[in-house]
Amino acid sequence: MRINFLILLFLLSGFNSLKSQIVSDILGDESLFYAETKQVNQFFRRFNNEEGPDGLRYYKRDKEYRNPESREKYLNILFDYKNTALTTNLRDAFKLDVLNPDSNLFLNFHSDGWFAEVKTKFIYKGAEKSVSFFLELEQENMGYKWVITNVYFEPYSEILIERKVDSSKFLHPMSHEIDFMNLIKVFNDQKNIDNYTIKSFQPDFLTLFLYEFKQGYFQFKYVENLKFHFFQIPGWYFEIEQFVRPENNSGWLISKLTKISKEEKNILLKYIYHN
Amino acid sequence: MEMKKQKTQLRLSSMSKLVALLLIFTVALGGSSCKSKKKIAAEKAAIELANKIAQAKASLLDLLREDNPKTYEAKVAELKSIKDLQLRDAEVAQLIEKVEAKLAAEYQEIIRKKAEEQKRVETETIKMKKQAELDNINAHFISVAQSKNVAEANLRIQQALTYYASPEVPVLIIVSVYGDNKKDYDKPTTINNYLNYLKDSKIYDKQIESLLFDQNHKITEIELIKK
Amino acid sequence: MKLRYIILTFIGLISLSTFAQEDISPERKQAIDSLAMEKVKDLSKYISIIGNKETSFSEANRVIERTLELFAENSQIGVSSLYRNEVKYYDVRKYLNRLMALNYDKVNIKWYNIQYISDLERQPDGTYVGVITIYQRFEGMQGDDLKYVDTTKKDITIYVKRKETQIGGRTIGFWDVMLGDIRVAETTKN
Repeated sequence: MRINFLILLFLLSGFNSLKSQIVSDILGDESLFYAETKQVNQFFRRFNNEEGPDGLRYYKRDKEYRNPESREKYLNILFDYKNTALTTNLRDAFKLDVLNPDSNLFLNFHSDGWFAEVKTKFIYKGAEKSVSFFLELEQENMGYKWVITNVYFEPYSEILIERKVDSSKFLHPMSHEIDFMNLIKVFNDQKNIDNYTIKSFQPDFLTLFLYEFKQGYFQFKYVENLKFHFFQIPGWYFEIEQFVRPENNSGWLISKLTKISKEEKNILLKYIYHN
Repeated sequence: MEMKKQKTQLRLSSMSKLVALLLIFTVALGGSSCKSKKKIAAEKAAIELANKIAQAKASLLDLLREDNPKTYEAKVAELKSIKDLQLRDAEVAQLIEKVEAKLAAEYQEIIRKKAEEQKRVETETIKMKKQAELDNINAHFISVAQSKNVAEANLRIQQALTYYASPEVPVLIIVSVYGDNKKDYDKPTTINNYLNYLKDSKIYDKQIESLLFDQNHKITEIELIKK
Repeated sequence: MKLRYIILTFIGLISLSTFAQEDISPERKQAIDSLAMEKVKDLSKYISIIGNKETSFSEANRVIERTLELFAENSQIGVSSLYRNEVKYYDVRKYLNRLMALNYDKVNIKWYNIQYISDLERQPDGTYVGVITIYQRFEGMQGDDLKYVDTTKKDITIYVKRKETQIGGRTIGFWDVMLGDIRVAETTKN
């Protein structure tokens, strides 16, 4: 009863610091833990209104399951309120799309359209370096597992992505007649090697990483940071991150939100993967 | 039918009274002779017999009444005293037969009730004994959980273990009951581990669902359920 | 043609049995949740015993063994503090031994009235996995003085496997609930 009241108070408070102070005085810092979106699982459930204020899941038979009214209240608390880029207009437009009774937009744990980005620390050739892994859920047998789809490692990018384009560097079309003896010039010029590859060439960092990892160049230290990218709501992209702070507006929250078209989605994906 | 009989009986008894009166008059008016004396005696006997028969019939009919408040034993005694009169009367004989049948049935009923009562007392005793046993086993669990220190807990564990066939006796903990009395359990453990668990967790929040014993009345399996 | 029919029937059977297994009533799920929660509470009680100076060496070792029985093999505890990104990884045994060596006169573990139990998801091997989040205040006392205190969020992996065993000639279906990796993150400094 008290909890319900406090949750309600919290939901209605609009994160007014005075009110949250009152809440905190009654419950100590426990109210903060209630308010916090404690797990990604809870982000999903709150987003879809699949759990009560006490954090207990609703089942499909429950009246409140996915109830649009309480869902709107939940949606309100799922944004990082310290991020001024997430304007009221933007948030309202997003909520309007999500709550539209015709489109019925819910997040689905098992579906495509979301993935994790895990920033880790490794020792690479004697120095501490960050490596970011991209992971997706993959079904196997009757269950699921997270699998690595991509990796980003800055030293790779420096060498392979930021390539120097020099139109004077090429193997002329009659090279075959001289047994490609001019390759010696290609391989004596380390910096310009990219100019001799096919236009569509895309370096595959994951292959490279696995090769080097197996050679023993990488030694794992720890997981530094984690975020999730969502493309499950048509026309929108958002990112969630964990905010650890002694405030009601904490835990897993939307940290980035953008309206995107189908074409923009591919550009954005390239940007996320640093390709 | 009953009514008619009673009427007949009534008529009969008033008739015999009339006969008796007539006889008294005859004796008073007619003086006496040897022959008439014999006759008078015979008549007197006849009157007595008729009276006895009438009385016996009345008693027997009374015994046949469902609402007769007399005890079974009193009824048996009454019947016996009537039978002892050895009245040679067909109607009386018939009634005696009926009363005997009725009393036999009553006897059976008394036996049945007695057996039933005995069984009830027995089950009650068993139940109480069982409950006492459960209370005792529960008390061991509680005493281990509430021990003030490790030494005390260990002592209580040793005491509790004497009730079990071995320290390896399985302990089954019911987690949920579903469908047609199907049960989900926690991972089965042994009584020794369970008692030590109580010592560490300091909480006993279960109750005994069932027990199995061996021929030495030592527990060979215990099933618990969360309260 | 016939073969194809058989294969189709077979696939149908598999998906049917999957469905049957997935079809665990909310009541049974809640019972699994509270069973898992009980294991988490047991862990906390064991930690208090191990960290307590009054606990004899042999008792502490016995309790360490019992604690390890709660965990799936190779489970680790990953600890981070508020001001450092770095996560330190400990094997459970090492973590418990370290706790025993800290030797506080008394260890108080205060539970906050909040816990969060995730859905149970199925792994490829059929085991279900979930995460229980709890908040605790750890107080290490030296005499009457607070020697160390922290408030942490603990995300505890829970593995749930349906198993069967024969006891007294009958089949007992039970939930084998095991703890797995635990992520311990400091939330506030006080």
